Amino acid sequence: MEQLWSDASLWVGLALISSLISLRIGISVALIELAVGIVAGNTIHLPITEWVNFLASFGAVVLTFLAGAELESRTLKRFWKESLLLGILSFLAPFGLSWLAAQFLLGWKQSAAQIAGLAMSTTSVAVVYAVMLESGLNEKPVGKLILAACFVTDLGTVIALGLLFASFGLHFWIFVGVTIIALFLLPKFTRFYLIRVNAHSSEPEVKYVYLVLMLLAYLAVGGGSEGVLPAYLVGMVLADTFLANKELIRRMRATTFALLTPFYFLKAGSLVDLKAVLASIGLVVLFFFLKTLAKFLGLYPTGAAFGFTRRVNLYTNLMMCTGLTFGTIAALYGLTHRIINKEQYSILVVTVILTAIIPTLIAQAFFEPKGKEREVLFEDKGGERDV
Amino acid sequence: MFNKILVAYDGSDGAKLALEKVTELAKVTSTVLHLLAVGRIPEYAETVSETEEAREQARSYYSKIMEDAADHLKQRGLSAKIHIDFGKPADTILRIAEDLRVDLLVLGTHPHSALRRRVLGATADKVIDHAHCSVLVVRHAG
Repeated sequence: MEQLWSDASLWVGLALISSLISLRIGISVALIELAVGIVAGNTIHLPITEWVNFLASFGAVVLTFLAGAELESRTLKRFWKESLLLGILSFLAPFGLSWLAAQFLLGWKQSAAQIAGLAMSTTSVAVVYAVMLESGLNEKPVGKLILAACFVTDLGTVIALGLLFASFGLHFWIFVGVTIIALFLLPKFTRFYLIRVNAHSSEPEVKYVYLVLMLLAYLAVGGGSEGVLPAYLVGMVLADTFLANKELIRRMRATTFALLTPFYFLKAGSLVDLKAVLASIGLVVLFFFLKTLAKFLGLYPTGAAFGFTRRVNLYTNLMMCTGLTFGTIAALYGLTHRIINKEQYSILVVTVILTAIIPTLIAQAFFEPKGKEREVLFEDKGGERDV
Repeated sequence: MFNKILVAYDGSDGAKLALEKVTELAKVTSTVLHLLAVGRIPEYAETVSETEEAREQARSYYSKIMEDAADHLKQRGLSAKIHIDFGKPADTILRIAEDLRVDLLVLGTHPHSALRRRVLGATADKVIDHAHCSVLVVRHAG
């Protein structure tokens, strides 16, 4: 019992240090927790117990739910053609190229190469949103389109992660059936439930969401799939309900960021072996460029075909090169299911961290649409037209 | 001399001193004053709502500060347009200055340690280097 409290104090102490650093330097606590986890994992060797594993896994599930619940369905409907095509290509191109390179160039096993593809396929809606908020682009057509496309990309990653390694036995089909029914019923039932419980101080709404996520995660894992798949889908179908109830999101975020996600990011960081990264720094560079190249190959011609101005097209490409949460989720899934080894995991996670930072810096420094460019998205032969 | 002035204001002693100097300048010229507060939002966020919440907190924090600044100007027979924006302070100040097409940018500063200046960089340094217009940096001794 004494050991439990000492372990807990260590983890929560590191989470607190991360928050204080984040507060001081203005960088998201997720990235700081990953960095603090890397340092702690390579120096004091953090104890990863069963309860840590549970909190970290549930943190990933709730974080995925929150990401899904941030979908703006109106934007997706408005730019459905562009966002679907850009989002799908933004997933498929880096997934395919990184998979092929890992398997045939580096000689990784097929399943390990697929994990590499998944980790490189992601974009980060939250990172992109924060960057665009600084320039006011989040309110402009170009910003809304990029965010909608990022949602589609992440959906591709989550579905692939949920299906690629599934066993497709009876339990899997039970999971699929229950999830489909749940996705169909949840929007209406949740609206009814929220009105009935009326924000009671015993937090029945938060417990309800947690219960839904835990039940579906139980079925997903039982069916050989992954808990983040139903979490993202449930988030998406409940997005409109939650957008209208920002106080509930705030309360969920408070519990999640205080007690769940620190364990997820600290654990994800602590499993990175710095010696392995230094020994394979070339592979980190390779994966980074593969991801960037693949995103450009997939997205630039498509953007040009849609008539994006050159600057908007380059900015869009760079923004969609970002990745953080889903990239680490895919890599951690691979490690915990023994699909990849610690060296491969370390390479992938460090690459994912770099993809959160470098493309956004380049995009902001050189390609951020300015002035009238922020208002204009498409360019056709007769000149420019607003959307 | 200066038709449109933007004052970067965060309620700090340096900013208050800068506002005081601008007040003296504006009294003798017919100048349009703009006050800008820049709220920090976390970079590389985990969720959109994290950014949104930081934005709401910053807006609420700076609303009061800007109200006080506007009252201060009013007492001296002046008025200003208030702006609250979000992002990295230097980048945001430069962007808003360009958008508003101001011809003078004013900001207060206070001494940083050499290490902090080297690691984090000073907002004033970046603004001076990249501004499209003249910049007045009012240095607070404390």
